[in-house]
Amino acid sequence: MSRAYFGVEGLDRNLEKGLLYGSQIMVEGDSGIGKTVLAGEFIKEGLRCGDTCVYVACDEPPIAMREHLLNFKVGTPAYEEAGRLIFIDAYEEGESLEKYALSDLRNLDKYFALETEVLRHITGPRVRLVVDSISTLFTSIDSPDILDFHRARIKQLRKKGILAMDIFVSDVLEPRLVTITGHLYNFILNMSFSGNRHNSVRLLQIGKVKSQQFVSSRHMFTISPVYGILVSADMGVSE
Amino acid sequence: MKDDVISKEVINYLYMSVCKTLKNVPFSNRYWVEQIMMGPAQYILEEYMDELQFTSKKPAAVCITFLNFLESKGFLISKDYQMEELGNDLLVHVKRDKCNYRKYCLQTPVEGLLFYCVRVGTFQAVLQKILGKSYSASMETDQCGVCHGKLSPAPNPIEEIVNRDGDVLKIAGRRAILLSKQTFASLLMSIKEHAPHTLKHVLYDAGYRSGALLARKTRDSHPDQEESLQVLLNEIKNIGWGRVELVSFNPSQGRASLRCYDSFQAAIVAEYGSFYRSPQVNCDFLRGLFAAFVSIVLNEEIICEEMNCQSVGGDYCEFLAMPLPKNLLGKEKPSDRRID
Repeated sequence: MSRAYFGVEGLDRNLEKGLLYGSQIMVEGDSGIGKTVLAGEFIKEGLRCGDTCVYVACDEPPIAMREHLLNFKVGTPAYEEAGRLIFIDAYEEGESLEKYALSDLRNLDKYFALETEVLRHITGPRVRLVVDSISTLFTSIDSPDILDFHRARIKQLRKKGILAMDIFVSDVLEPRLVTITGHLYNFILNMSFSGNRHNSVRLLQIGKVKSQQFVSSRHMFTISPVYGILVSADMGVSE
Repeated sequence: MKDDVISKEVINYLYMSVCKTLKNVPFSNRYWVEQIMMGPAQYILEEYMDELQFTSKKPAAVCITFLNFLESKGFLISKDYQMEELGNDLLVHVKRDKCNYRKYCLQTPVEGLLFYCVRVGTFQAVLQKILGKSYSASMETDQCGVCHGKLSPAPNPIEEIVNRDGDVLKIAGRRAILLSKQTFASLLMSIKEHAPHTLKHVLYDAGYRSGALLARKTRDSHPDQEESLQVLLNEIKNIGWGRVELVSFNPSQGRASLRCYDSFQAAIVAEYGSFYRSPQVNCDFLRGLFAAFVSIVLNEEIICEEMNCQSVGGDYCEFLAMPLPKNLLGKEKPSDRRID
């Protein structure tokens, strides 16, 4: 059975068996911590592995991710032309020039329908989906509606064997909602700043929720303009 | 069989034999074939220069004078050849069934041999001797069996990309070495061990830099873009990276589609295993090389992606080179990446 990886060496080293297609990853992190960089690595790895990658741009227009990938020497036009890289614009509403764009950013039903429609047309055997960030879609929506939508959506993604990465910006949603939502995911990645204002470091925790506990390992990381996310040697911290 | 008929057959077989032998010789057969095709005319010019009256310095007139001389010796009929000048280019048209070298011409593709038109090689030699100019040449045959040759002035003398200077091997004028698959694989394994996150980048960048050197050298002697690219792809085969086929090339759109059979990097994966955790495309060096080739030949920033790889079950490695979208153009230009 095919296994997938993030495409970040220090992170993948900790995933002995990799990620199963059909599993879901929750990425939660502070603003500016590098969540989109991680998403770019994940897509880049998928494209190299022959996957079809879908990127839902909620916080910036899709061109920002195209530029980001290009900085890492990924020629997006070739993949877009081959139908292996698909952008969904969930940022610009009516002004979007993208083939797929969400017309109403505050309507989860419309989002669900659009995501389903895009995934339905993909012919490739393996699909990666990144929603960056899904917490933006949830802003100003009631918690029960979010949970209903999310359960139905994740169930569908699992059934279709989609490897999904949902990005959450810290402190946008109620902590309780984030905790409950976290239980729906196979893997959780927390990305945060630590230390003080003069000497802050980036930390990354990867783990799973088991018996109501978040079991994880913690790593320090930096972002290189050439290589992307560089995870330092395992810090050996377990929670 | 008359003597001249058998003589012409022998000449045709001689050229076929040369091409058959060169097929098995490493390094840039095209250049050597070209030199061989020019050779006989150079000897003829030396021996019969007194009889040849080159009164004009116009390329078409120079070639016609030479054809008339060959006609006077009963070797061909000069009027079978139509010559015309188009700008700086010299165009030549001849029905293939009127050409002495038709057997060689028809048989080489059947046997999968490198073809180089003997007649345009002759003209190259004559123009070089009489006008002191190097010409690059190409020849195509249309569906009616008419051959159309084009000779264009080469800005710089055509040189071999891979050459031997005494005991020193050179590629594009720079000292080179031969590496075995094992040696190259050991380099990759060392990078993987010490800095795994750099492997793809190192290979792409190394490919781009070395491709840019070759491409600049080739572009200077082959101004025609497609010809320049074909010469470069032939070099790749000669150097041993794989046999590359130019599937499509559209200079106006800045696009090229390429297939590489028997990629060196795919062969390394087949023997030493993948350098990555999950099966994926592996030929980043070639990707960088092709990006540089197309960028330099078209003088436009081009990025190349490997869409499929022999190392993950493809019949060949497939590359697609496309320009950067206008709104995504970075600051870096191909010329900025010089390492010389």
